[in-house]
Amino acid sequence: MDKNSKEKYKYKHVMLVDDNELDNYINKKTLELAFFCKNVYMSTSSKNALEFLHNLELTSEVSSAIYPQLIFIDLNMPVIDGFKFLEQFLKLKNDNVKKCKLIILTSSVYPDDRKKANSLHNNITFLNKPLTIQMLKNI
Amino acid sequence: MKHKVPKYKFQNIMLIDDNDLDNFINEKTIEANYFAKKVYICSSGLSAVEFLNNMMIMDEQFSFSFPEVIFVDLNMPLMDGFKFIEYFVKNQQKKLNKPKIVILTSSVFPEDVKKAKDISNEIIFLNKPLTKLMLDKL
Repeated sequence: MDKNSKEKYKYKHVMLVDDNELDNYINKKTLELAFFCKNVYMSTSSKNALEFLHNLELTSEVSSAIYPQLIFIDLNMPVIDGFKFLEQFLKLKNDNVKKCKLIILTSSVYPDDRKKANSLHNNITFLNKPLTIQMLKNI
Repeated sequence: MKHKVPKYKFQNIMLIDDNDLDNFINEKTIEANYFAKKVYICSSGLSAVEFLNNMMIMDEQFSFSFPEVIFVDLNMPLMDGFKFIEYFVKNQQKKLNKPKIVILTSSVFPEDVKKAKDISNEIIFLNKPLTKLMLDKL
């Protein structure tokens, strides 16, 4: 690939939350290949993700510059599952949360899960694994 | 009217402890003594590793938000303090501008002190509870 080609990233910071490290790794590579974002934050549990986001807010002067603009969340995770994560995340009161897009990325094909996601917040996108470059174009 | 502008010794520090109450108390002690402006809190070794990994990929202009001192407990589930320190020293310490590591534990085993020394001479070993006197010495 030409080194000088300056591909434009669609987003700066994107976060992946999935308890499966392999899935995280593959999704990260997909994001990089599609020039979708510059930095990919990763967490292997909802709790770690919430702690990370809370800590990011502490860097108040720059938090909007480094806060993820988009979060991919898996649904089936131990301890705190994707829905509980979303509930807790939407409760956070800061401007960064409102700007953040939420995407559920799961292997679940239950129509109920899709319904539940839509009832939580109308801006949640529901996608099925695996993540493809084509899917990213529509986000 | 004069406003006293507090002088912080450090900008950012990090607490790693699975006990939320201990974290809360230590955070308050640190704030009360103007030891650090911001306190990052992680409730497990793995959470801390992920947090620091995510910090590492940030642009260099944000390096001022890296923690300068890391307080870590020893007895934690899954990834204990030593495992965290080993991973941290091997993979992260250099890239994060070499923060100090402070072991803050209720363990009084001499073996633990020795083990900490074996990993690195620069690790400071403290016993809970955290006090003003300890913070002044750091």
